[in-house]
Amino acid sequence: MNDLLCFRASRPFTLGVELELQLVDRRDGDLTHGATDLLRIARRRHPQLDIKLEITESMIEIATEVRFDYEGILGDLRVLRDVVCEAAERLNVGVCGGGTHPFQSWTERHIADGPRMRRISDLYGYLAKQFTVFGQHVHVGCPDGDAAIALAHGLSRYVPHFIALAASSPFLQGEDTAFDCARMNTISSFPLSGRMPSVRDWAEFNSYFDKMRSTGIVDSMKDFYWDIRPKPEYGTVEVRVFDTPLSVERAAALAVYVQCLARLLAASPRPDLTQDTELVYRFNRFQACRFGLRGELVDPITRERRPLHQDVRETIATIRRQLRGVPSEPLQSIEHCLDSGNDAAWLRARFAQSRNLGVVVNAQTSLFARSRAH
Amino acid sequence: MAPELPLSIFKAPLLSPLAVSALLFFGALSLAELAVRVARVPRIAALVLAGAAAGWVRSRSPAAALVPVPSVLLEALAMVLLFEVGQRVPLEWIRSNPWMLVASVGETGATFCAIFAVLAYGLGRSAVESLFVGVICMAASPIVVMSVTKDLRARGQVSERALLFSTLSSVYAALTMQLLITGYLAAAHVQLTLVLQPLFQLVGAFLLAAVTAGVLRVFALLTQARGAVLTVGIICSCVLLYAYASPLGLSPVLAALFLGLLVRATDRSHSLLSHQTSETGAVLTLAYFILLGASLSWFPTWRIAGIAAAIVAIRLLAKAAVNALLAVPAALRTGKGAMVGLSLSPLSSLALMFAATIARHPGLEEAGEISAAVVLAMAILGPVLTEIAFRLAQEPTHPLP
Repeated sequence: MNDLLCFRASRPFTLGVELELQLVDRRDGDLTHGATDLLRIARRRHPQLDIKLEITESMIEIATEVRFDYEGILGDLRVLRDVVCEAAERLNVGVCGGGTHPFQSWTERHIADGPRMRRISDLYGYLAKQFTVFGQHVHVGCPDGDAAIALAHGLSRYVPHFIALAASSPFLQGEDTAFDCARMNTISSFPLSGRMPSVRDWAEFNSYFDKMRSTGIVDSMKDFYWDIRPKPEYGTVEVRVFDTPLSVERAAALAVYVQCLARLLAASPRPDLTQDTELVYRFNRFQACRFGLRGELVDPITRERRPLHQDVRETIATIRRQLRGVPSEPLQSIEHCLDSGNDAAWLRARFAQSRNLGVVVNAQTSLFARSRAH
Repeated sequence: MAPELPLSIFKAPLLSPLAVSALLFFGALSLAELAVRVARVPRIAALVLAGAAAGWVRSRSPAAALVPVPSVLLEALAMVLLFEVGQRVPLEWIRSNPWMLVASVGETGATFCAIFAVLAYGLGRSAVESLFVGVICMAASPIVVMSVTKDLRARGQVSERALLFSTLSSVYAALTMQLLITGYLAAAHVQLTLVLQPLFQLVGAFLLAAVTAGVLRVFALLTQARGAVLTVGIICSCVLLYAYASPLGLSPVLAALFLGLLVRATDRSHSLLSHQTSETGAVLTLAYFILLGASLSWFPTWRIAGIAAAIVAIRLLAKAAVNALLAVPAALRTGKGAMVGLSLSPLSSLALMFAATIARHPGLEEAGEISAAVVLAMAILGPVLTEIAFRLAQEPTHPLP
């Protein structure tokens, strides 16, 4: 074997966003089958846009171009949303965000056609169908592999921020899970999920990958379901812990937050690869999933506990203080999230009003299409 | 006279008509479940077949013949199921994709024209007969489409479109049939009341449905009913609707559909939506299809059977071809369009009711027999074809047993 992974250099701090979206029945809000039909319409009218099938017929993925700023990302996401919503309307299908569908039954899912999807289904069995969860992936450009490894380790300290700010999966299989982000529990079932191993540079990473591939455990980088992973073919680091937010505006704001943190980290790199970090990582991640912005963080160095929302506020203050040219809108959007609650809180509020998860999904669908240009 | 079967059990004095009814129903249900489990016959088709077998036993035994085929019960059950169709049918789709209306009118119109042409020009039947049979057979049964969809938990474009198109074709057929019968009775004298008949039907059925929807809403608000209690409330509303529609000269079919649509449109909290109702709804579906089977008449002659076979073939062809043709502008692949057409093959109680209605008019007896023969074929074959179409489109989500 020993085929080295080649890291394709890209412009530092460029951004790309992928969103996995739910396709729902407009009558009762349950997941429906329509990805292939929707994709056909959207691609025929807009062949240049990046819209893809996902693992089941009830989900699709949209992806932006490589952009550098908030306006570019938001503009792309709005165009993609409009195209997808327009195609969905012709099929009488609803499109919405959210990390999980509130009441779908995983046994009813169909794995989409395609060799990779079939391989995943053969390997993981029912886990593949339970993998009907919906996330946002943010790619940040890196000049080389070493920079990517450093950035992946640096961003891992902020994983609880990302999870709590984007959390939109409080309901699963018709129940309130008591988690703000139940989606991550599903992903944790996969053997190669969690934190990337403590490799120090790209050469070490290559060595690790070579061992994993030679044992037959993985076939490609796609088989790692880590929270944050390098993506050598794109020349990026990919943050994968976000639930798909309920609006593209929130998705764009979160992407810019990641970009700002990447810039902060590049200014003062301090990778921490101790065992204590690993211990704290899992605890902090759990706090964010379970309690969202009300969770607590433990500092591995000082051993102090502090509220997660306070840590986010201080991080935003640091960004404003240390970085130039950061647009105010995305940071204000995140502060608004801290003040008024994340999407999980919004979903629970809708459920408290209606006591009906079908109505909650209808509200999600309306919110996703809310600012559509007609 | 039909030969008497040596079923001495029916001669026993302890077997009252009520007991025989229960036994026939019990037997039919057992037969249907066996057919599903052993021979893997699709459930809806198995229920109709078992009901037809029960109907055959009834027709061959004097004791069993004491049991009336409760057509009133069949029609009342149809009302409840049509109410659910009204709740489910995605009429708003026409607004976001007007090609859906074009496709619906196109497939129903083409089916009518094809059947009319075969009967009038190919088989030499009279124009009036061809007209009536064409109108009856141009529709498809939304009750069967919905029941197969629910049985398979089908989700996707083919099942959604099949429900919309079958409902719309039934509405077209109900309105046209009312117009034709009024015109036939008026012996071709065009009167103002004749021209206004469809409008009267639509407005009258809507108003009656609106009043009934109000009654149901008050019931739901006062009792906060859920599950079985709510379903019984819905059944009562539908029976009320049925009881008042016919004496007022209104179509019960349209009224039930309107009731479902109105309830859905005004039920913002989804408290009355069918996915929350209890298993009582499933019981009604079982009873409906067994009763439908028992109400079917077997082919009176081979000649009628032959004509029916020709109509079945041309009807299938027309529905599949036109749906395939209009699929692409309506935002679907051609192949899936053909599957929509295939899934529109079933006929059930609505067509049976029309067939019985025209058979009562002098000169239209044979048209009634031909229509009933087509209904017999498509009540049994239709659910099978619908299931095949849904499976080809990979829409069932029912987990493996």
